[in-house]
Amino acid sequence: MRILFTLLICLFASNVTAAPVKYTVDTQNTDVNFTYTFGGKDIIGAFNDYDINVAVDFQALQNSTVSVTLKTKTATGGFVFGTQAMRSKKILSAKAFPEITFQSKSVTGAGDTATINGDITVRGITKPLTLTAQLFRPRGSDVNERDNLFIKIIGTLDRFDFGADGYPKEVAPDLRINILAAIQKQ
Amino acid sequence: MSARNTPTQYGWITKSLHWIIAIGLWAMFFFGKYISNLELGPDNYHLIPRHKAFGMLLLALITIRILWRVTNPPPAALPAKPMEHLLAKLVHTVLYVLMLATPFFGWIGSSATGFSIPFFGLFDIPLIWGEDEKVADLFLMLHGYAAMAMTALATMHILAALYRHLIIRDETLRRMVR
Repeated sequence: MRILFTLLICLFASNVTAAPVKYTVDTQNTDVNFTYTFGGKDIIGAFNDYDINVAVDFQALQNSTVSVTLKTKTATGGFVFGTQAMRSKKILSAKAFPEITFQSKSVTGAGDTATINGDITVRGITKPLTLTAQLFRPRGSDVNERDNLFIKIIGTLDRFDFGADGYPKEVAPDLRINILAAIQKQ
Repeated sequence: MSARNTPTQYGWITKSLHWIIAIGLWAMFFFGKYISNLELGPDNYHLIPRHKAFGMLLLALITIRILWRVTNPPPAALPAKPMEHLLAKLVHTVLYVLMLATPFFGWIGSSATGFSIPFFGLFDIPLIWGEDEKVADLFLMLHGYAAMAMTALATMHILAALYRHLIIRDETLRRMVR
């Protein structure tokens, strides 16, 4: 169980490097989840194979980048039939479209939250998507810790925008993305 | 009581299969109507695989019943008007066809949805069609129509049995009960 320090790292803290710091993901301590509403109740699904690349410029946040690749064949839907539905042609069509990708185009900071604007491609359809992100350092770590951090990324997409329109009566349009990744400096 | 049919009486295997399948088919018809009108959610979605599992069980029993009937012919029909014999034979034949076709259409349609068909959690029934939304929609629709036709014919079958029992007063119903 990861332990998060509750204070957000100040994105413009002193004593930091000038160039963007590249991070890789520690998959053992990372959850790539999404929430969807089935029959009026929230169900949590997950992607079990993914690639997340984060580069943070602590002095000039606009130089930061985030890219995410999710392997759709590893999507789970919270229960057996949810998983089968999620990978089926009616939703992610995992055989035809093995990846969901997100590539940031701009990163801006406001308060304790960064806003990431980028393009997401689902089922071969690319649309703009805005995500929000927060960085945390591990509990008990030095206040200037930058090598091992956690990043929380959240956002919402409308599955109908991408042709993932199966089961419209049973499953609501919104998929709420919730990534909590342990990242390590490269 | 003999296990096998005799020239005048049904054996206990035929009678057991008849009543188990009859009750099962009626129960499945109302079960299917019930779940087709449900708003599905996490609390009730499991009823669909349950319906499929019972349907596959019935398909197995129906197949056994047909094989049993082929290898063990039923007793001769009791005297009746030629038109009644013809009608009875027609209804029985179509009933057998629909008893096979209804679950088989459901099996194809269900396979084409891409969802697995767990058999009461013991194992998965093989899927006999690849994921195809149009095939799924077509065969699940046929499954519903076949079920309605089957229950309509089963109702005729029951009314005919009651007619023979209450009006003609012959042994037709009794020999399937006793």
